[in-house]
Amino acid sequence: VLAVGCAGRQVLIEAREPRVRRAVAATFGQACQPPQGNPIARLTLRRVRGGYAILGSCEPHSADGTLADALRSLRYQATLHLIAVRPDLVWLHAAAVARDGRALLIAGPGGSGKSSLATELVGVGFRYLGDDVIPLDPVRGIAYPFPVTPTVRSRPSGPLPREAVATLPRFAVALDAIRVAPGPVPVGLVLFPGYARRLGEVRPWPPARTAVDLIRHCLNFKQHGEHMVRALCSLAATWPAIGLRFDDAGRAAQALAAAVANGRAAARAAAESLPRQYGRGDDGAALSD
Amino acid sequence: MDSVSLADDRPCRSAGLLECEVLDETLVYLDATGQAVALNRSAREIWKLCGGGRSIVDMGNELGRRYGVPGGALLPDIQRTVRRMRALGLLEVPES
Repeated sequence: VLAVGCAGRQVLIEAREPRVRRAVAATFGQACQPPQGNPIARLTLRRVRGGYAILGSCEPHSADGTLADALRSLRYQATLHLIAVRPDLVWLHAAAVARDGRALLIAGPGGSGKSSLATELVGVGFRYLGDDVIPLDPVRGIAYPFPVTPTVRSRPSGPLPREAVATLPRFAVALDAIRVAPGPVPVGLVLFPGYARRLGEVRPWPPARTAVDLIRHCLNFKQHGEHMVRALCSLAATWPAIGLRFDDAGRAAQALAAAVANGRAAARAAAESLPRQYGRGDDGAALSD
Repeated sequence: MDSVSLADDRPCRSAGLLECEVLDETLVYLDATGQAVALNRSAREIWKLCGGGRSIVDMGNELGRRYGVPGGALLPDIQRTVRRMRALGLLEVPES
């Protein structure tokens, strides 16, 4: 039995077949923890005729019969249990990494580049918090790690319709524990990713739009309604936010890391100091607008 | 009603909206549809004038005085903004 933990709570996941158990462990990665007692739920992944079944689900499991699909569903079900037991948190569809005690929250729809950017940022020294779901304490403005194994899409350079992006194959990027944030981190910067044809582009994100986009990516918004609107508006008023459009996540991560490391430790300063366009030219030098 | 009359219609903020100030901008949340809309500074200024007592021309004159520009020059922007807000359900435009 594996224990998957986030924000101080755990879901137990049982898989009897060694091959399936290994796949479950690989899926949840650094979110697997030693069992601590008082789990909130127990999910069992079991092979059945024609596919896999998940027992203990919050919602009916519909799958195409493959293990990969069952694992996706298992991850979703575990997340639903965690959301249900910590409704006090804002659960965002987002990725997050941290450096110098500040988290960079990357919020966006599927296919916008969250996971790619987060894993590239880990490659240049950031600590990983998660690539898909990040819980936030709306009072203290801190992000909790939910470090399931990130999966990134292998995508060709160039624009693709969103529907096409969603069908691209994903592959897991295994991370060592040393690369994972050990605990909650205050959010220092919010980033909304998107695609840019050639140059990386950075632009400030207005505060009310930040709040709207956080609402859009909030997974438990309906539970709270107006209360959540006020909480996210308060957070958006204190967090600097940028839009970052890129084609090459590696170069985007390098530009972000350089801005943070180059004597401007505060995320706000980093956001303000990023050139509006970067990455042009064979020498890779940043361009100032 | 697709258009908004400059002189006759007096736009009014819809009932049942939640307004939150976010620094110098405003977020408006429509509980009925679950939709949130961000208003930048300019849109917020127009929004604040939509109390049901002013026409678009009145708004243009008021904002023109505030910023030292002819009110008429602002009318196309105000009209477009009011039309957009109404389409989003933020405003009611009772016919005069």
